[in-house]
Amino acid sequence: MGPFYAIKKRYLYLLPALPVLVFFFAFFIYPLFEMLKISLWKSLPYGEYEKILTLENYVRFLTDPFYLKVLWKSFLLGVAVTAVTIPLGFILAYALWTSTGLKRKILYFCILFPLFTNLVIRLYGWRIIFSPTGPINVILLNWGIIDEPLKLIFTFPAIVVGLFSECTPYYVLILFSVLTLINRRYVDAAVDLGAGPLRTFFRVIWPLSLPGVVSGGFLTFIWSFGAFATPTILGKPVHWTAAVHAERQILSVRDWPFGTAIGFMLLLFVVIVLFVQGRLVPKVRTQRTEV
Amino acid sequence: MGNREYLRKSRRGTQRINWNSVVFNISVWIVLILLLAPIVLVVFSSFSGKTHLSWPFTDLTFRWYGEVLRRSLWVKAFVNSLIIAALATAMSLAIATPAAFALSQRKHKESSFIRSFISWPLMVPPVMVGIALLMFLSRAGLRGSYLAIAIGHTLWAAPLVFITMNAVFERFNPVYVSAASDLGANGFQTFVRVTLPIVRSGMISAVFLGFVISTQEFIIALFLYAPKTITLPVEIYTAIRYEISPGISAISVYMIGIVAAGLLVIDRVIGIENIGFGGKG
Repeated sequence: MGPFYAIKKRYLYLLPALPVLVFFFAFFIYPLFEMLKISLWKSLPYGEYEKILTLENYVRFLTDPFYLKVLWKSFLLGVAVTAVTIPLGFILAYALWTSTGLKRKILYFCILFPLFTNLVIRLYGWRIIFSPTGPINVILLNWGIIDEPLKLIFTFPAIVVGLFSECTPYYVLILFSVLTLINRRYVDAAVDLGAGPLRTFFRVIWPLSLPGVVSGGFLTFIWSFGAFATPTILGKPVHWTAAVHAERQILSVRDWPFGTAIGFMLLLFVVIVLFVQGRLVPKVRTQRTEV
Repeated sequence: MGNREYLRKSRRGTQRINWNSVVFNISVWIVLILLLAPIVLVVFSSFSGKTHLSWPFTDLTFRWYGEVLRRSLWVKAFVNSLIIAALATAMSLAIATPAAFALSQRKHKESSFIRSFISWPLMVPPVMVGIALLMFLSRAGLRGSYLAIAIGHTLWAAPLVFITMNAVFERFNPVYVSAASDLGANGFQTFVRVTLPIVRSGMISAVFLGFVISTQEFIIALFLYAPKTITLPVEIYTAIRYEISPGISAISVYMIGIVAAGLLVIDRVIGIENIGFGGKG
């Protein structure tokens, strides 16, 4: 057995993975690389650009207080949505975990149905709900609780609610797949040793489910941070995230170098977040084996 | 079965536990309402007899369902969505299934790297993917074609199909494969005659996932569409910025109906619990 044969034997099993790798390199990695090149070109007025290598698009983004504020607001949006999704999504995942039979089927349906329903349609539903003539305002007006319609639509909380309903089904499914790995005997043991339900939850179930909470939570954060649809439909231009500004620069202003530079700042941020997650998850895993 | 029954048997009094479960059940209902309310409202509003949507929806009527079918723009967008979804599903399955099979067989360093690489498109903000593909595909002269949008959707659907199929193949007992090769089948024959029949239910779930993900994606489509290939989500997105009307609700209900019917059929065939990203309960 020569060394070449050994290498061939070791990597031959990867051959069926070749099509997806080729596809991703051609339509994902390479286009992103081309985009990176454009973001380093000099931007000229009226959508023109000159092929001179420069960092000025990035400098412009990072020194303009307006765009720094946009970035900061996108970050806050991501944090707010994640903070709401983690506990509320956990409740649903826990309900799914402890349910059986028909109840589990119904809960599954209630999670998968919104997940598979068009995002735009769901956002349209929120627009109807939050509109000044929508059910919330009209019912509160009729009951005499308020005198004039509340401003619900085009506000920050409206965007948070919209993103929450967008991310929760994914978060619940990820968390549920981790919960199913938990050995029920640990729960029984805690109860036998006299722990109340809250104590059992916080000392046994919560630590064991942390890998799911962490990966689901980070996915929620990344999606809300890079959100595009929800801020444009449920928000005003002041609520626009960096992703929306990137799209505006490309499709409206046609400033390609600057728009792509915004996009890459967004991507850099996502990579940093994923790196942090990568450092965090193994710690959680070692904790799991100790329990 | 559930551990709440065990909790009930615990030594600390039952009263506190009941209180906990009341709060818990109310919270579950609140979350479910937050998830389902927008869909329910869209369905309700499609029956509204008024042209402008305002609560309560009165003069209930079915007329929007017929009226919207006579608007060729909406029907065209609907058909376009289905064509693109079919293309994207076929491409995702074709490229992701073999990879999922190969990577489930062995656990080396490089295979876990490739596994995470395949999920990268899910992590990159879709706006980035849209911009990058817009530049790349316009240069290739594909901008505005069905294929261009389907390629974009494949980047989003293939990772999900991959995750589903990978979970399916990991549960799959390799003894059958060795038996087939002992009996003289080559790799391809084994895959078609042994592996595929066993993983059928996973495949159905993956097809559904790919198809639905493509019909609902619209950010990449927003960058790549041409008037002739506009998809339904893009059409709705541009329409609802200016108006909310029962007509839009009616076309949305057609779309919602397809999803609901699909879920019910899937439940019949493989059981709804088996859809998902490898989370089998």
